[in-house]
Amino acid sequence: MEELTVESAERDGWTVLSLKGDLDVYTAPRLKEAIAESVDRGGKLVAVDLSEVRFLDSTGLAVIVGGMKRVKENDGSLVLVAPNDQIRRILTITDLIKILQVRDSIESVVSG
Amino acid sequence: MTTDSIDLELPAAPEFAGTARIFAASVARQFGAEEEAVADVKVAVSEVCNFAIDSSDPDGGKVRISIRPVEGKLEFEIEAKAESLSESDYPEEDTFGNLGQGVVLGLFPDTTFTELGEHLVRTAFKVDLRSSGSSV
Repeated sequence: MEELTVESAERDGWTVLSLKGDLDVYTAPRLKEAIAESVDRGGKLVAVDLSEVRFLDSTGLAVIVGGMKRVKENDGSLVLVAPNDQIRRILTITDLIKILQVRDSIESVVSG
Repeated sequence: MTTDSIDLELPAAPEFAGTARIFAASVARQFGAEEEAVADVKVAVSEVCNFAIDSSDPDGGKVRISIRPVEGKLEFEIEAKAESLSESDYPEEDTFGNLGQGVVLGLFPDTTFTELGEHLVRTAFKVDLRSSGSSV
């Protein structure tokens, strides 16, 4: 198992949270904290880069949905970037693919 | 091929969810499960661990994973305390038990949840094995 690292960077008005590792019940609080910090700093546009996330379960989804709600309360947007096929499958199974914005690359997000 | 089960018992604590996944994935691969199935197994096992961790057991609780081959499939039985396994239409943060149950059923539609008493639940599902899988 690989623990989760979360790196935050600002890019063209977006807060890009780059995740690497496993997003599960043990590591999900780190993402929750990172999203909260972004919102507290006044960030309205949050991109969660999942391209290096190898594992995600419902605890990760719950944090993502919660983060989306929090960002929306500030009239902002939260976008998921480059989830792998397994994660896309879970998003589809849970129907969250219908309410979450998903993009294939950071470039497609920041370029509008 | 052995018909004995391969078992692991571990604390129902967040830091052990990864251990449970590694164990389940390793056994599934040993028995010849396809990688996509292994990925599904990891998610399902992790979700059941989440049910147990979400349960307010004052002693912390245990998760017991039992895996055995049955007629060309690999049967997973996971026993853990799970206080809330009900259906929900919408996921809410911090109530991932309902969402997690939906994920398990989405990946393994024939999953059964059997109450064994005192909130102890056995979650069971089966994974197809390749016909040329290795044996133990």
